[in-house]
Amino acid sequence: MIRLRFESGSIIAEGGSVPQGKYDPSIDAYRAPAFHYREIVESLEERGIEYSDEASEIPICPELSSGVELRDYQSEALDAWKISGCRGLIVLPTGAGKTVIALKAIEDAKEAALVIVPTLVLVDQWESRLRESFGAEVGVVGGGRNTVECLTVTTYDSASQKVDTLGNRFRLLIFDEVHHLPAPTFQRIAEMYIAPHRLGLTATLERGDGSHLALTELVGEKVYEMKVDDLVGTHLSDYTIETVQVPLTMAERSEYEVQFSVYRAFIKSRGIRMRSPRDFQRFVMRSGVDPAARRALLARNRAMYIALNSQSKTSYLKDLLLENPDEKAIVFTQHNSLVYRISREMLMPAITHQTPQEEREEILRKFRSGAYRRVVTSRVLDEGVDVPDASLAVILSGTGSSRSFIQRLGRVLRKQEGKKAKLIELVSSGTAEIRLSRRRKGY
Amino acid sequence: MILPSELLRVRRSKGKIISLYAGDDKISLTKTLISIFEESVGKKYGDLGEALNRCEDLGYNYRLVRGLSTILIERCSFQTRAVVSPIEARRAVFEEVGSEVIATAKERSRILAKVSSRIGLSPDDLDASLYADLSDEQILSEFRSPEPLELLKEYNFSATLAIISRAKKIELRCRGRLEEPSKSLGRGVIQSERGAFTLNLDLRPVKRAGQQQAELERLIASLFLQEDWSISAELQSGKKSYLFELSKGKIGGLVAPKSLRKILAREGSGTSNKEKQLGDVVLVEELAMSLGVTESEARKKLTMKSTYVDMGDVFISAGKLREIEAVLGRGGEMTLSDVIPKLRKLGCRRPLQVLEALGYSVDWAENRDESRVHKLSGFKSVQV
Repeated sequence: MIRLRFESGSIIAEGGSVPQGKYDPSIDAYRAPAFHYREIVESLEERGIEYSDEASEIPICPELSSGVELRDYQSEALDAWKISGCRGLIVLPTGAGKTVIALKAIEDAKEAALVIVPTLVLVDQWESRLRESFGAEVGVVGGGRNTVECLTVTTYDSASQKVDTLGNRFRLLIFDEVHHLPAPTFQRIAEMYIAPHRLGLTATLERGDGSHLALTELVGEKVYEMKVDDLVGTHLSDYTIETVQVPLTMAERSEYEVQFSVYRAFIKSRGIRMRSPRDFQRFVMRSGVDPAARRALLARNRAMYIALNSQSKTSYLKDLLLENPDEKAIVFTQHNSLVYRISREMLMPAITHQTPQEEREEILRKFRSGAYRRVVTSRVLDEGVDVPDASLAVILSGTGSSRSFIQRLGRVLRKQEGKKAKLIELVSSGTAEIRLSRRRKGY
Repeated sequence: MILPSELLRVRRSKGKIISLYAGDDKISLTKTLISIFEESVGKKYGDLGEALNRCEDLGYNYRLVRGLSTILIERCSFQTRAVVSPIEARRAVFEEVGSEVIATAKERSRILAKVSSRIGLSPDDLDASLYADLSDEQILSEFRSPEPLELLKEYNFSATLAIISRAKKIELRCRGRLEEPSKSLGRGVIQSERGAFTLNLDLRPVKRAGQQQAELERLIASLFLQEDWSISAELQSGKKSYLFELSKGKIGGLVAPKSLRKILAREGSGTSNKEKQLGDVVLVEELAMSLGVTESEARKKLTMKSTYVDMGDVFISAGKLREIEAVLGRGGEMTLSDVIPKLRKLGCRRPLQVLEALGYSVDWAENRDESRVHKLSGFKSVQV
């Protein structure tokens, strides 16, 4: 008889070999990554091999009912996931209701579920949503809390660190913002948990480094996708995107040219061609060993900093907000320094990774209620955080990532009667930021 | 401390990994850096950072500059200097702004004047307090200068730890006495033969922050006190393995921790010293991790200490508990958003669990502002 047990993210099979298992002489048993659990059990059953399963400690959960009603496309997405054996990825734009699909998946699956999210803000959001929908106890692991229930919410960080205690207690894993999962430190979550059922949710699957391809093995195939334009007008607000080119101040222009010419001269002297992000990555790596490349990189960074944080953008922003006094606006930047410059100058509530959690919650709550009409932030509100009725997004600066751009657009797309959302991005004219802006919009 | 791996300077060659230690030729750089820190006392952290960046521009290897600076920052104390709590200041100002767009300096001054007169301080003090809690705004209040050579040795020791911490297996050899490593570092076997000790350790991944780092530092520091010591560590990088080797004879006295005796004294030689430093609020899981024991063993240790009260996964000292109960009182009309910050301020982790153990109940609503906290009738205070 084969005895299966769970140990630190592995299935240990004593008394015989199992699929995907490798013999470990130190314990005289076979060891396989825990995510092969389902395959191992199915194979033992098929072959009629007697086994005792001490690996799984999944509790029996009470029947849950959420009363959630799905829209037609949400039902299609959920059905597609079920047909794929309750594994796979659902890609829907922000505001299209990925959370309700997950709630329905939990309700239909009737099994212990762990929801894994990237930030503590999202932990709180999911915790109240689950409690409100099911009226059940909800466990939370992370941010100093450590209670495990049939429905539990945790962060990618905690899920990765707590493999020993959480790895064999859930049958369903829900990965919110699943594009985070391919990061090397987080992949182990998918590999070291036994849960056979997995649902990945995201608005933007592709990662610049191509590592999203690993998700197929870790979570499952993409089973359903809808893009923003498929839902605009029906389930998402109509929107416009406007790009405004703003000139640098004279002092900024002169410093920008000095710095950028150092970079340009280096690139030219070494015959380097920047055709893709990979070329730039190689240049960055070279700067670790080549002092001249390092000087060129620093000069380029200074030039880009000037372009991204130009004083002209702040002046334009003031006019823009004065022209749109009734719009609920989120102002996005790339750097925290600009967030705080705007917050100080315009006395506007700011949220960055340095904002204490309670203050962040308070600002978002007041923004929701309308007590605050504007928030300035760097990247922490790019994804996930539920900001129901913002109608104006101003991108003062960002990266070339289309994922981040779509996430920022998503912040203003939640459908509201009569709402016409606006996204306005400010770009410093005659600088390399123009290319960055084109790249993120996919031109 | 362990140097962050992105600041490590190493060379890989023929299956070996070689640390690029800082030698005597870097003394002038260490002197420059020490003087930058000394001159920054009383200034903002952000200004110190800019001065260090300028130092990088002088042509020194940026990893070396940042690595040495990381060691020096450990010798600094920072303070927030604000007349009023920055969070309170921001709240008052943002609430005053409401839906208005502040586009000119005049409008800004008007808001600051209005708020400052209401809370009874000058507009300048209010302005200065607004973001005084940001890391760049912290004031360097004290810097404990090292000797330049001492800094070099400390940097090299931190780099050594950084390499070892990434190893899968390490072997330590010496003449003298080798202590048993903490279980939190992994499984280790010590063998001795005619005064020569060998420790073979299958190292667990060392987390970037936490007790394991201190344990590793202590283990290697104690090795440095012995005769004829050597270290050999196996590292894996992708599919390739590398060997790191270091011995007392080879390094010419250029690698040494801050103070061997101090590290060993600080960490103590058993669990008793650690237990003395447990604090008022102890998480069972963290204690188990730091002592390298199971959670039930850690719980047993805490239960045996009559000074702690069992709250489930968290133990709280009797004194702290009385403090918490005094702050909470009978509950009344409190909401979760009132209570949780109070508990956190008292250093109380797992506040919900503590509330429950103290006999309070939460009527959950959609958000913390509306979730009411009240004491269950008939529930007596916890006996301590």
